[in-house]
Amino acid sequence: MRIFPKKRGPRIAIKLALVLGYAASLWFWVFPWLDRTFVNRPAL
Amino acid sequence: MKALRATGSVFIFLGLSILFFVLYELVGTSLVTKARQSDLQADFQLALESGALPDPFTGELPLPQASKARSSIRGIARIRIPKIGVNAIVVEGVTLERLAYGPGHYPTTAKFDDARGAAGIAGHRTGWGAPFFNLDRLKAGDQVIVETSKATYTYRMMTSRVVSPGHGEVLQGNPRSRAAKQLVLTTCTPKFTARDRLIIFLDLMQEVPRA
Repeated sequence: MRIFPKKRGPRIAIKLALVLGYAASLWFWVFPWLDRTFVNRPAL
Repeated sequence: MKALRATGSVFIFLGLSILFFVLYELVGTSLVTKARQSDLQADFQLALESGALPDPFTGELPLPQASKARSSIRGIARIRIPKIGVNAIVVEGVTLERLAYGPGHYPTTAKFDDARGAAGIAGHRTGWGAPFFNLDRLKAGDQVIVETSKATYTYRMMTSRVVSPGHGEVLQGNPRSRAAKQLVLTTCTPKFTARDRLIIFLDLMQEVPRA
């Protein structure tokens, strides 16, 4: 079963979009949650 | 063979994600705070020079007309700790949103300009500029200077404690001190974790009103 298109252009575009989407979700949701849950809570 | 290759790819992917997190924590967050502190420092200086009066409830100085700030959050004081190279603008409040701007004053504690009581300041130790990264290097006798629109206060470190989170009573000040005005600094400890809190108690040594 083929996941990505056969043509090079669309295949690279989809892979790039997936990587950027993954990085953005880490940066804006996952990392801030990790930061406030495990790394930083300096107030009492 | 195919399964082994897929497993290897997953581990490389996870490893890169962890590296990305370290980059976010140590560089990304600090760049954000650095830009915000730059705005706060400029506005605080302008407000001091113009002789503006602080808000009676929050202690925040008004935003100067020449301000280029991108946020409505304003500074209430400047904290300097010469021993560890800290020079930061203190904001009002200790929520994580506020601490992303710089050290924050606990609203439930005394204000710096109050005649009596202990004022508390919390600051990040990892990321977000990490103003209190080296707070554990302070020794008894070291100075902390807090500058407000009304005066410059020089505090001297008396002692420190490590407590678990939730020990809010430490914000009432050092129980062994007789000083009428105190300062309490709090941050996470050990470094890179939020397990415990490092508490630094300081007594006011000198108060110089602004001319």
